[in-house]
Amino acid sequence: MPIRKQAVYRSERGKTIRVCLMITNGKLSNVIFTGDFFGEPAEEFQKIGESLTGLNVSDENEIMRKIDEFFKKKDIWVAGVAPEDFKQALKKALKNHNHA
Amino acid sequence: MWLTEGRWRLLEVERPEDPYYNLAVEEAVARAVGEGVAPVTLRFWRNDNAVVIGAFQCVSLEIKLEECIKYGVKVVRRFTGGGAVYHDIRNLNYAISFKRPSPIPGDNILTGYRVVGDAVIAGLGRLGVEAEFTPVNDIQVGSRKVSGMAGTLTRNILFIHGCLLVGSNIEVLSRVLNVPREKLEAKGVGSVRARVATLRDELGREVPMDEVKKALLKGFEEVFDAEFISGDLTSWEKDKAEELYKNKYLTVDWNLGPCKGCPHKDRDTALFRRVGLADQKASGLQI
Repeated sequence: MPIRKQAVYRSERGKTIRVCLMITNGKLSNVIFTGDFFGEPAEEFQKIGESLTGLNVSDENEIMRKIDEFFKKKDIWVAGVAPEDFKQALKKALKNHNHA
Repeated sequence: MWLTEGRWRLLEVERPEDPYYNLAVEEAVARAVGEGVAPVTLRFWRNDNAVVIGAFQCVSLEIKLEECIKYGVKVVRRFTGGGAVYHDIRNLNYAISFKRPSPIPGDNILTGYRVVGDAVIAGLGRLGVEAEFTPVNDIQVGSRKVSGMAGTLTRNILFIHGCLLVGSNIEVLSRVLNVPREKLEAKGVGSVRARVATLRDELGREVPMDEVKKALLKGFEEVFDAEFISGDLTSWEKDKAEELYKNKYLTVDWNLGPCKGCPHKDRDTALFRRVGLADQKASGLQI
């Protein structure tokens, strides 16, 4: 059975990120970032979570590196949150108790 | 050409009973302006009894779908980010679309909220309501929000829209939105009800919608030093709106949004099918 975790993270920039994730055999199997931030292109933002699939949850450096990599792509625009907030939101979710 | 002429378009196209169409028009107009086939456009419009969710939000976390079913509230996802809002016929939506580079200083969305906020605040001042801009994207009277904005910045569009609580039913609003505790705490309140106010609350009277529109229009004219001429959708916009309506805003895929891999997707889809079902069937929602 996959482990499920969630977190709500409030950015100092004023907007909120929610993370829902699943861990299967110690690896991220499904990560979804949602929230009330602003960004473009909208369809690209689903790819942040998708890019983390298969990463070992104990390898935090690699997870963070992948998030950085996403925001380095040109044409990604975000407001109300910063790339760092996605990292903090994910860290918070990983630390949280398992979710039903 | 449009900018130098200082004559911009005022649109009042709305189908309050069909929030899917209203959002399709919203995006079609923004695209037309971005493509340079329509002038800078200010639009006033209303939904009747709908939740409009932000582009990046999760329907089941942000909205109480069971309550939406109970109150006959439809749910539609917009193309801009930001938080979920409740619209009824006593809420007024305003939207302004610019082709980039826009007259907003820095061509920047966060400054855009401030400048468009100034226009709305100037309009509210004419009604006797003293409001102020609260970053990131709110307009408040004291500590209570009367209007929230959202927007987007693409290669060729700077677009901002917002909703203004003229006399909305706050009871329904507070029942259908599921605002996270973390967000309410950051705003220093314990409930949605304590966080919002209507113009009716502030002025102690029902304010006719035409009076609100006239006041806001003056505010936009003042702040942007522009003259707005009443117009209609172009055939380009009508075609684009129809396409977006059918292929985007009437689809469950778009409205359920970013949570494609969510383990609760089947449950959410089943619930979503029951949200405003009769009307969705009538309007051809692909469910």
